[in-house]
Amino acid sequence: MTPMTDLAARFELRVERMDSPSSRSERIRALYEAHVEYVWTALRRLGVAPSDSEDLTHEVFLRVLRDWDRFDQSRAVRPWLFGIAHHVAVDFFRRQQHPAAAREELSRDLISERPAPDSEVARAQERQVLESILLSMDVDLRAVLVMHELFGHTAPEIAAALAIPMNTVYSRLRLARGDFDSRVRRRRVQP
Amino acid sequence: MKERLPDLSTDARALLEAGRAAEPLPPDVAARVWGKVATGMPLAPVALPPAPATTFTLAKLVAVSLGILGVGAVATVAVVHFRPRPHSPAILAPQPKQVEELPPVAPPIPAMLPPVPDASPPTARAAPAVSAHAPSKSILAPRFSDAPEGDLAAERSLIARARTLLERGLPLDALATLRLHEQRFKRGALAQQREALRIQALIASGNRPGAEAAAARFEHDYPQSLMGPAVRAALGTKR
Repeated sequence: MTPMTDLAARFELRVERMDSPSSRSERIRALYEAHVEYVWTALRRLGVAPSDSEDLTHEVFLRVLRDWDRFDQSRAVRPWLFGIAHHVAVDFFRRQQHPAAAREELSRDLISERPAPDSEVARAQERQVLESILLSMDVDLRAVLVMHELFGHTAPEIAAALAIPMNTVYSRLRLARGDFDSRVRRRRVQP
Repeated sequence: MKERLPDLSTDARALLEAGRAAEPLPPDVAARVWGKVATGMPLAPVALPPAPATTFTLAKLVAVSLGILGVGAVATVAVVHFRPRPHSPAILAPQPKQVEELPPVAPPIPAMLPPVPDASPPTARAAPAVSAHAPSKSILAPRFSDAPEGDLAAERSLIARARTLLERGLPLDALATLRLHEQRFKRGALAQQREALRIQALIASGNRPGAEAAAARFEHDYPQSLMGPAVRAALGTKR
């Protein structure tokens, strides 16, 4: 597992399907090995803190086990996993009453210190800023933006994963992009 | 889709670009989570007992089952006297650090337990309740889905408690906790883990006939269970 490589290349978004190994346990294990880092990254991009990501990754795969028989295996598996991760994260935020305001403050501080380009630290800081901006957005808009802009999922995949109509996907994505862009601009001009 | 969407500023695009990088997942975390997923092991860290004779037996059983499932990392933690079986993926490689992360022996667990409603012999109560389950031919029985999502944490907590008690050599207390789980979450998401633990606890308590009866029900209800090998190994039987 080499870190910091491009998601679109690493996760081969639209060609992956669950193989059909001999036994169910092998398939579950293969699914886990192939997609656990995707789930982990999805949870982080949805705003789950590193300290909570382990528990929630576990919870995602428990739900995968529970819903395994209902999953249409002709579909791409990763959008399905993202949909589960989204539900798990939303439930978690609801329980935690997530302190989005505090994260906004954090992002403001981080973004005012423009990092040196091409450094690992700079990338890490950019990701932190991104996470905090995403966290300040409406959770539904955030999910659509992350799925499309970060993971490259198609509108039909997003619609299926989040159980929303296609038109809703498009409208949410338009709103999300506008909202995200305006938040970035706002933070840049703030002292 | 893109051509119909509003343009993003350079800063916004740069931030999104940064977010496309994968978030590194520590291998020990991946192995730990898989161990929990594969065995139904709850999230709470479990302190190991000072290896009395019963624990050694249970540890051996856990080692066999986890070895079959290819979860060497968990086996390394659970079975300090056993060498974990090899398995291929680096992601699930044994992590010595995991042993170090385990807390020392915790304060007495029974004091932290909620009052157990009935302390009657476990097998007499367990048998009819289990047999009342509707048969399920899958490890992912559809009936699991009727458990409310909010109950999952409570379920995990009870199963964790039972597992801890069992590993501490307190099988009767473990059985009492499992009965509590059954009362609250008869068809919960972790019902299968409960029944597998119950069999181990019955063996540890010396009730082999009860364990065999429970194992027969388990095999019937969950014929493809990932925990089947562990159950059979606990009884020293083969399918």
